[in-house]
Amino acid sequence: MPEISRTFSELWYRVADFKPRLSTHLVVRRHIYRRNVWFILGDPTSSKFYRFNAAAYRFLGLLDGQRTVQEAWDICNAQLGDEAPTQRDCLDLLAQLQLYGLLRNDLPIDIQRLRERIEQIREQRFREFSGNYVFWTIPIFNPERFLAKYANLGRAVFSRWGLFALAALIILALRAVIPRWEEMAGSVNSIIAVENLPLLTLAFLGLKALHELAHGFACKAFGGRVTEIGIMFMIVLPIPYCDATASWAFPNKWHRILVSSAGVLCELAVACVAAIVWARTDAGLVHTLAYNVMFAASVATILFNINPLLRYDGYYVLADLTEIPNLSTRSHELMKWLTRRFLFGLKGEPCPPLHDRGEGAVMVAHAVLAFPYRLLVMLTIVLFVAQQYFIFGLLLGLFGAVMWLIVPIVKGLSYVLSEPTLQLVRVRAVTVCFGLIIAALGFIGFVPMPARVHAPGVVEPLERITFRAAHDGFLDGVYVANGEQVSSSQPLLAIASPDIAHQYERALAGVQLERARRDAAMVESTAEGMMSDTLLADAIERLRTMQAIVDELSVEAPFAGFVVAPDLHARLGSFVQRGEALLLLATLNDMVIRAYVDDRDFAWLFPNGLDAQDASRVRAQGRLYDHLDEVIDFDIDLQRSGMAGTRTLAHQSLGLNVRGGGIAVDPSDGRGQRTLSPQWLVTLRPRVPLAERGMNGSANDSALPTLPGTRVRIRLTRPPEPLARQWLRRVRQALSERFDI
Amino acid sequence: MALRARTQNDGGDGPVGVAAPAPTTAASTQRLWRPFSYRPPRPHEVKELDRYNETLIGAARRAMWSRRRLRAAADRVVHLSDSFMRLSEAALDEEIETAREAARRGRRDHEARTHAFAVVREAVRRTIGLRLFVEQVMGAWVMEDGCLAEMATGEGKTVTACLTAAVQGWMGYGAHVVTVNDYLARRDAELNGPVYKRLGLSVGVVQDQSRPGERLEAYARDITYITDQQLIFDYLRDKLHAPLQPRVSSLLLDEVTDTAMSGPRELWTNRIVQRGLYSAIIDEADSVLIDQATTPAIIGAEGGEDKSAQYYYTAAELALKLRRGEHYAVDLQQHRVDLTDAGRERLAEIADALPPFWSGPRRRAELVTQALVARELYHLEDHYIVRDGDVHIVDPQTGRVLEGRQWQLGLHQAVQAKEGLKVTAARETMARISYQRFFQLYRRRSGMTGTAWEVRKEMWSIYRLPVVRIPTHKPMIRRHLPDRMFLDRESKFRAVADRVAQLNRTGRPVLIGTRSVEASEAMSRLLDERAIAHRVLNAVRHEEEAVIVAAAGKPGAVTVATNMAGRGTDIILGPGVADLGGLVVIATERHDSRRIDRQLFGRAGRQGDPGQAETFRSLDDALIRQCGIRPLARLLRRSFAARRLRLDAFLWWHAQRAASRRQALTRQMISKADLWFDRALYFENR
Repeated sequence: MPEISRTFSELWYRVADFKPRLSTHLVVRRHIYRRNVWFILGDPTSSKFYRFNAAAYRFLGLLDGQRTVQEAWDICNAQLGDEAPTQRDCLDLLAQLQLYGLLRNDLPIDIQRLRERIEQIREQRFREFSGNYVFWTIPIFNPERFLAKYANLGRAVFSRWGLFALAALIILALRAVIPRWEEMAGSVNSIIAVENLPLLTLAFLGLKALHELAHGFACKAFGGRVTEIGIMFMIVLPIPYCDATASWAFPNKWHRILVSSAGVLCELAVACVAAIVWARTDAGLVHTLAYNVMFAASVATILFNINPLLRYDGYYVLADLTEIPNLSTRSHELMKWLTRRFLFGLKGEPCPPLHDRGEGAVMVAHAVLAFPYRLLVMLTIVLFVAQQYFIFGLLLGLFGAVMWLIVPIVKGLSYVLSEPTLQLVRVRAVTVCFGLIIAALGFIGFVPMPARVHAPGVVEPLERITFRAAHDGFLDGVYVANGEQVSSSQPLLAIASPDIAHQYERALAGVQLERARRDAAMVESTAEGMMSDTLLADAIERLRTMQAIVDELSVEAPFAGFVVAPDLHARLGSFVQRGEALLLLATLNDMVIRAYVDDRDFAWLFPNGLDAQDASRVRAQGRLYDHLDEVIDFDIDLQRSGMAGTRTLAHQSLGLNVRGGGIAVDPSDGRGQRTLSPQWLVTLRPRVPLAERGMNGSANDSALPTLPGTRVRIRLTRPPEPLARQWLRRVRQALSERFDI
Repeated sequence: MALRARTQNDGGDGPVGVAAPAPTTAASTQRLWRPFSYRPPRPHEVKELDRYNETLIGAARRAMWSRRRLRAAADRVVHLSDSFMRLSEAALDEEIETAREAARRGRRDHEARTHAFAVVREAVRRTIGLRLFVEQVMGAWVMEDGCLAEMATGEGKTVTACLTAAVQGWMGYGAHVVTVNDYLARRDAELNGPVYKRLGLSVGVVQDQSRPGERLEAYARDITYITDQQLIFDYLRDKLHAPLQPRVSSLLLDEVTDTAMSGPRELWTNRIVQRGLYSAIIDEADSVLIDQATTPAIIGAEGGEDKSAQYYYTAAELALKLRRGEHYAVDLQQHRVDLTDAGRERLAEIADALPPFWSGPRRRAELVTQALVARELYHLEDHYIVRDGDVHIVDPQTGRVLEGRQWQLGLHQAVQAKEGLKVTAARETMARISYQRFFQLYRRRSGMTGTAWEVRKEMWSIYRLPVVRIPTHKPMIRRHLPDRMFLDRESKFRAVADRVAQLNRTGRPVLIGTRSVEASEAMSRLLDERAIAHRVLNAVRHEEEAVIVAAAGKPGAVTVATNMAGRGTDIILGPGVADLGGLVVIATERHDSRRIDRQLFGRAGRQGDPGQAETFRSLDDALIRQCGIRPLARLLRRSFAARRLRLDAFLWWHAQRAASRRQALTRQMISKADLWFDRALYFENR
């Protein structure tokens, strides 16, 4: 039979003549959520809270132990009309209160029921404990007395003045840190280093302990009771926790928010102090520790605590800010209802109560984002652990895959297939579900998706020459300025070498001497003349050699290009040693990009090594600084590309130490040029030479010319491939890497 | 414990076995302890892994009595029983006394059981002259073991029950043999009466018209034949008469100290008719435990004219002003009516002119929706019949009238208003129990039926009854013709009538099964047109119907019957019919469950007789409209190819499965509600 009416219930008779009243130890608070009045009933003995809307509270208020439930309901109906709670609502309400033992009545106590209830609670606790395999909580002690003793401290800290003090601290810390910003950002890498792990853990634990104490103090400051502090194991990492649920009863939402954010504020303060300490100390244990504290207080806080998508502080702050209590549970319910109503077409289930559309939107957004984010965090943790302890990480990963992927999928499917309440719409539910699954699988398995890799690269000239001093000498003339563009065969510089000039003179004189001798000898005899001829030829030869050497002293540009010769003018007339680099000439209108592709990506992009076939399949694109709005196609230059992996970067700027660089470098390498994983150097040439495209300012005057040495991010795109194949290849690669297959 | 011993002692030298113990104070004390001292297991929700565990146990319990083991046990009984044939009456009396003593002492081992069954079988032979088959003994054997025996129609279930009932009766706590209607209760008690008499057992029958005194007496007998309705309502009435909070402790104290023999307690002890629920042997168990269990039994204070009757009339009038599609939408598949926004607006417009009661939008919408549901989803002669100026619910599956039941939450009133009848007050519920919960109260349950295999899982999970199939005595030779499908009901019914005419000419008896009273009337008209003499049964007057059904096997007989009509009565073939091919059963529709189809087919081909079963079905059958896959039904309607591909088989298979599941869901919901208020609303023990 369809359930049409909620006003009446056929079970009403069971409660109609009953005269219950609320237990006297309950504490009632009036809250406002989204401009609606709600009442929170708190049970101080169990720190549990129950929320009732105004109509339900009116009904409960009428139950004074004298009136029957029927009378109370009649009064409600007379007073509230259509707003009155239905019989069904009242039944649910009474059942819930009875279940939690919040109703008192004059019936004799049924021992058997009590025992069953105790067993239920015990079983439920065990389930909670064992079911929550990711976050085990172990209570340790009751801080109530300690906190009560220092309650004044808490009140002092969590006040207006406390906020001012925090603001001042933040300003001080920023002033200390900003000048050394680069250094600070640069050291991030060292955090991950294994030898830093104990220090990091220490910083983390200490910080979290403070964090939880702050919650406790804040809660105490506004009059809540804090009865439990303990340790929670997040997979393997122990984290202290503090039960500040008493704050949920605070009528002022800002008080609730303050309690929720007390921990983060505390960490912020500590981070500020650490920053000041870090800035004032030189390398050493204190310095490193301060840095670690800063890191733990910022990164971990952002990832976990502040983030409203995980059920930590940020979540509660968000729930209180948006005035949606029980956000997570209720958004879950809402999603469930939406699915059943619209996806499966099940009619007749009432929509979970909402105050307004905004509330619904927040709830939907939360539900949609929270689950994937949670998965992502789990995945990150598993990967992190796997990096440190491979086997353990692998087990954890398998476990995680079962718990967070397979179990939900199996549960979901069995829900759709066998949930009794879906019986009426089973065909549609199954069709929709399997349709979606097939669509998703088809998308992953068959729809080719672009596959791309980003590689940092450096612009380099296609040709470049470094002119070195050919011989010892004095810099005699510099005919070009630094940065000047020169045309082909334009003189660049000249070196004066008295030694060479002298030798040249001698060679010249030698030739004249030999010529004179020959002329004379020709007169004497032919034979002698012939001999003299040979000597003359030798002398001429010597002169030629010298001439070449002299020519080397003055340099001309072999091709049109750009001069790089800083400070050369200043050295005019000074002595230069042979082999000393003096001037660099580089082509400017034809550049190449030398991009570093990580070993893994390289194998993925070019499975057969770098051959012509693979190279033609991969599409390379990037933007240059002077034309950021234009994507340029590049060709892979096979001849100039490296044929083996290297661990040395051509430029520091490509390494992670420099902001914007993308390649992880070995933190122990001072120059920051040794990479952690092998890199392949791939040379790329613009498909259309830059000169032809009218680059370097002519096309766009306001833009900087593309100079050698500027960094470029190159996007290497493989031909589109279904995601399934892409993922499979990645996994295979990771495995083969790990096991050296 | 002490109390139990005392009761047994009382029984020992008391007048057990003699009919009608006088309702003395002592006797009523003895009667009383059981309802309250035995606390039945509380229903609990089975979750997750436990569910698989339970399923496994159920399967194991069903498989425990393999045919071979069972037959061997039954053979031993038959063998021993045959050896009693030469005993004198006096010697048999001694054997009876031995068996009874063993039962009284609670011996339940196979040896004692074999002996007891052998004795009863011999008593049956000597009194009614029947020699029970091995198969019947097998059935009784598993029933004694707390199972549900599935025995084909015509295998002699009534007598089989005798074996188990006698052994349970000897125990002295009262065995209830539950039947589906008063006629069967009376008939079976009379049929088996001589046997019980010979065995020294007293038999009582409770009928609808029995007065409380008679009931009290009947319940006090060793064996009581009764319908489920009487049983359950007596239980509820007793509960109402008992003091509000009969807690074990206080009652026990009273019993032991004998202090409360005077005063108000005296009043209620004598008004209680049942002496406790110990053992139930349920005939047609699936009908009682499954079909009946979709609505709970409720006792209400009878009200006269409803104070709010006017509202229902107004709601019915308002409902007439709304148009289907525009103001409200009917969803047959989900069995509900929903007001559209336009409908709500229209209602608001109309309600302006009405008294202030109609100003609340929620209340208004609820009442009008109720009226719309009554109009759109509940049809006269299909879901209910009007008799004596009141609405009587008909079980839509079996066509059986559910006496004394009402729809809840104002639906009944809405239907009354729709039919323009007097709107009786919504009966204020005073006591309520679901069939599920009620039969769980028995310490020992067993049952028998022709069709239970389809619901074996439910039988186990709810009633802890493993279903065991008992082979037929002679192989079954019923022929099933392929189903015939039609596009609409008209053509289907015409085809049925033509088929009947064709069969009638050969002289073969035909039984036409219909789903509803309305359908049987329509069928009857068609047969009249073709001038075929026939009789119509509507499951209203059981006794006469039994006679008609019994005659349905005569040559040339044509009988139109709803499914439940004349159930429990065998159709015995007339002379020469077997040579013609036996009885032909024609189903004019598929039922909500395969089980009920089988019940109908079971009418033909009993005890090795020849028989034939045919099914006619159409695409606009209620089953398809409510549970069919609509796109598939549309395809079948349009496409010849789809029909050639026999896609209709899947359509019907699915629809039937969905319908059975839906029914199961309703029952599950009732169980869940039980569980819920047991756990949460235990304010009063009603």
